[in-house]
Amino acid sequence: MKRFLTIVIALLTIGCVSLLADGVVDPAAAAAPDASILAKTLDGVTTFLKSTAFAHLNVGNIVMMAIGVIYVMLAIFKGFEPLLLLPIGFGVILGNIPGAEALGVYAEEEGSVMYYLYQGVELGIYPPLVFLGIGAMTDFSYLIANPKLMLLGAAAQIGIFATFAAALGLGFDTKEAGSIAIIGGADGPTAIYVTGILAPKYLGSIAIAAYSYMALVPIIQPPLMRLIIPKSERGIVMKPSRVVTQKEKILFPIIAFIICSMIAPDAIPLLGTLFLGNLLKESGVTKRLSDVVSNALNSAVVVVLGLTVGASTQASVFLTPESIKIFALGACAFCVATSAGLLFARLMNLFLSKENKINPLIGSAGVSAVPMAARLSEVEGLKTNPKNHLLMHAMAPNVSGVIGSAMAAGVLLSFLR
Amino acid sequence: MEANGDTAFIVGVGGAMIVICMMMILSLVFIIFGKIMAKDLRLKKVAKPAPQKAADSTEAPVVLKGKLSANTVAAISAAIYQYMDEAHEDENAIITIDRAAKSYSPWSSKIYVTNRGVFKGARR
Repeated sequence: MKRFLTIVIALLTIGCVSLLADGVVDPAAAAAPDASILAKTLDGVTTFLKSTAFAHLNVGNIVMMAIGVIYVMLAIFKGFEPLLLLPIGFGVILGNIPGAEALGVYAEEEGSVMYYLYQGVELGIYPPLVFLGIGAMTDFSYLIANPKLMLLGAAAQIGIFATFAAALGLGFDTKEAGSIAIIGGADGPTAIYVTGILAPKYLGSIAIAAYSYMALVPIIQPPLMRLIIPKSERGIVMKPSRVVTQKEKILFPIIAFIICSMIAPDAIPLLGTLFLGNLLKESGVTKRLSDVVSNALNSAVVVVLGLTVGASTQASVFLTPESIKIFALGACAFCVATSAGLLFARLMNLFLSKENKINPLIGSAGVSAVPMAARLSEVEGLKTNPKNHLLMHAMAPNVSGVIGSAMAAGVLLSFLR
Repeated sequence: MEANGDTAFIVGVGGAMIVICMMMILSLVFIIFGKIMAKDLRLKKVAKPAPQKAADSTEAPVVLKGKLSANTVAAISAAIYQYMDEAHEDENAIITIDRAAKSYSPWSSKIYVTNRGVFKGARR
C-alpha cells in the first residue's frame, strides 16, 4: 500500500509540475537535443494533459453528461423504460466527452463509426425495423374483439395536432412544428421517422424528448387520470371480450394494412412493417422469422438507435432555447393526448348501453406507449376496485394508438412534405 | 406550406379529423367483419351433429350453466393435467447451464496465498 501511495504521489507531483510549467517550458527548447530530460518529460506530460477531455470540458458538456447519468440511473433504479433510456443515457454521455472531435467519434462527423450507425436514424431505416419487431410482439386480438376501442387510439392523436398549432404559435416553421407535434404520439420510432424527413436538425432533441416522456408516462398520466375521471366511473367493470379466431387474427393485419395505406400512403414504411411483423406472428408458419424480428433484430436495432440518438445530443447543438421549447411542447403534447383519450372515453359512455359501458381509465392508453400506458390503466383501476382488471381491455386502445400515431405521421407528412 | 393561423387550422383540425375518420372506418370494417365471423362460427356450431346420449341413463351428464357439461369440463381438465404432467417429464435432466471447470493455475493456488491472517480471524 505504501509503495502504491508513493508511486501515486510521485505521478501527481510530476503532473502538478507540468501544469505549473505550462507556458514556462519552451517546447522548442524541450525538444532541443541539449534540453534536460526533465524538461522533455514535463513537455510530454503537458501535451498529454492538453489532449485529455478535462482540458476541453465546458459547462454544457457537464450538464449533458449529468443528464445522461440521470437517464441511466432512472433506467436502472426506477425501471423507467430501461431498454430505451439505458442506451440513450449512455449515448448522451458518449456524445458529450469533449476533445475527441479530431478522432472521429461523434455522430455528426463524417467517417466516424457513430456517423455510419447514425445514418440508420437519419435515413429512416431503424424506425420501420423497430415497427417490424413491435408488430411481431403485438397481440391485436383485444382490438379485434372490441373494434370500437380504436376510437380511443384515434382520440389520443388529437395531442399531435394541438401541439402542431402550439408549435407554430411559438415561432417554429410548419415542418419543424410537424416534427415536434409527433412527440404527442408517444411513439419514439414514429417521431424519429417524421423528424428525419421534415426537420433533421432537431432529430436529437425530438428523439430525446419523445423517449423521455415515454419513460415518464408513469409520472405524467396518473394525476391526469385521477383529475379527469370521477371515482364512480373509475370503478366500471367491463364485460369480458369475445373469443377471437385465428382466421380473424390472420386477416386483421392484411385488411388493416390495405385500408390504412390506401388512405395514408406516406405511412406505408411504418404500417407495412408493423402489419408484416404481426402477420409473421399470427400466420403460425413463420415462427423463426417472427422470433428473429421480435427478439434479436428488434433488440439490436433498439440498442444502436438508442446509442446513436443519445450520441447526437452534443451540448453545442442540444442546449439551445429551441430544445427547451421542444421539451415544453412535448410535455403539453403528452398531457393533451392523455386528456383527449380520457375525455373521449367518457364521451363514448354517453352513447353506450349500461352493460357495454367502458371504463374511461383505458382512454389514457390511447397514447401508443406500449404497454406502459395500458399497465397504468390497470394499476389505477385496481386502486378503485381491486378485482377490476383492465389490462386486457386497455391493450385495445394501446395498440390502436400505435396504428393511430403511424397514420397521424402519414397525414402530417402528406400535408407538410 | 406557410406557417400562419390558417395552416394551424388546416393541419391541426383537418389532420385530426382525417385520423379520427380513418380510425372510424377501420373500426366499422372490423365491427362488420367480427359480425360476419361470429355468424360463420354460429353456423358451424349448428351444423355439428348432436352429441350421442350417454349409454347409462343413471350417469347422464350434469349440464352446467354454461355450454359445456360437467363431464366435458372434467375430461378437458384431466387432459390438460395429463399434458402438463407429461410435458414436465419431457424435460431433460441437465440442470446446470455451463460446466464451471477451472484449470489449475499457480496464480489462484491456495498454496501461494500469503494473507492467511485474514482468514484466521474470520474462522474464530
